[in-house]
Amino acid sequence: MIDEMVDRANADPVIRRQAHFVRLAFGLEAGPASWVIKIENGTVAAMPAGDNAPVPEFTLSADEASWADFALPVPPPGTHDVLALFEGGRLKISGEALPLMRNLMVVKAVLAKLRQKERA
Amino acid sequence: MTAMIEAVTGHYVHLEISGRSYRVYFEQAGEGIPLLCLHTAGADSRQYRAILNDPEILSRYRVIAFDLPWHGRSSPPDGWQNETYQLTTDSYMATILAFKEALGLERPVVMGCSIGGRAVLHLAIRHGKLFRAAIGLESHAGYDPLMHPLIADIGYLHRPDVNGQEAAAATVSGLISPLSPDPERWETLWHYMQGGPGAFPGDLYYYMVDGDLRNGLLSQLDTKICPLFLLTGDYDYSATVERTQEVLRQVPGAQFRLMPGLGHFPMSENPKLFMSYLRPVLEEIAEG
Repeated sequence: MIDEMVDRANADPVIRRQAHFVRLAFGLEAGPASWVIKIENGTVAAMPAGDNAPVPEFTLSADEASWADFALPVPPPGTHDVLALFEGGRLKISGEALPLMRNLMVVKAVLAKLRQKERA
Repeated sequence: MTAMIEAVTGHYVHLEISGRSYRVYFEQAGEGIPLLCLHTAGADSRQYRAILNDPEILSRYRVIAFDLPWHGRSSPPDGWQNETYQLTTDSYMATILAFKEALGLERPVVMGCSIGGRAVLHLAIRHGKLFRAAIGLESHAGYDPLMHPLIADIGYLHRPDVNGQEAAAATVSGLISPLSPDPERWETLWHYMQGGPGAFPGDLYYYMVDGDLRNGLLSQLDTKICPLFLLTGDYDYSATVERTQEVLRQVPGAQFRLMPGLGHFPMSENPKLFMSYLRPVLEEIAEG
């Protein structure tokens, strides 16, 4: 799931252009699984969270079912956006808010690549 | 070959509002019952572009949409550079009434979305006799977003080290339904990307703070004087269906229409689908 997201993101010229100006590491948690997504030098990368991963500036955490709904081509109401999941109490945001809000456009664009047919 | 030219006309009107001069831009089309349209926070009257071009609606209604001062093609007042814009209930009401008076609109129908959806509630409470009916799109009385504690102190929509235009668009992008067509979705977001610095957070002061109607005032809204119609999309996680229904419970006689498949910007994000919900309402008002 994450590898496909990264591949699709790196194949998108709009994300590549945005990523050229971004230096960000953020956490993504789906139930017990966790990754760090790094955006730097025009490239998106993902690695398991842990000793060898950068410290994430913020982390988005939800259960696997919520991310599965989010990744549907047409997600049901309340699961169609990370902020919708958050306001519905299904996603937790931890860490610093400013790096998230400063980079929200590119973060959402990358996460939209969880979908086969992505939507920003 | 002749290019298609819309029948919409644009004008500037000069208004005095609370002792200050404003140059306000508006667009209009059609003939008949005036239908005054209010845009969402941080956007402008282009959100109503489809209604302004709908022959069926224009055959019975004169559709008018203006840009709030500080928005779209309406300039901020002289001295704007020395102040921080904040929309309040009083300033919003004064602006709408000044515009209505300047154009000589006799008992128009007023329709607004989001902050405009809140404004129609305030108008119906304070000045119901002046309006033939009120239509609230994505209306609710107020709520405490979970996001607020995270973002309260960072002012991310208006600070030098954040691109406020992209931040504004990213903030609202998830309020659009995933079923809405891409061209209309991105047109809607483009409007947000073109907002002036500070305009969007200034409007949110009304939406989140000053215009909060969880204070009992809704009980003063008399639908016998000003009929109220509330239309809400099921993909809106800000003005949720449940929050709109809280208004309904407090306003006897108000009518509700659920709009499946739509989000927070129905008239702009998916005009074709929205019009299918709006037309019967406008018909009922016209015949009422």
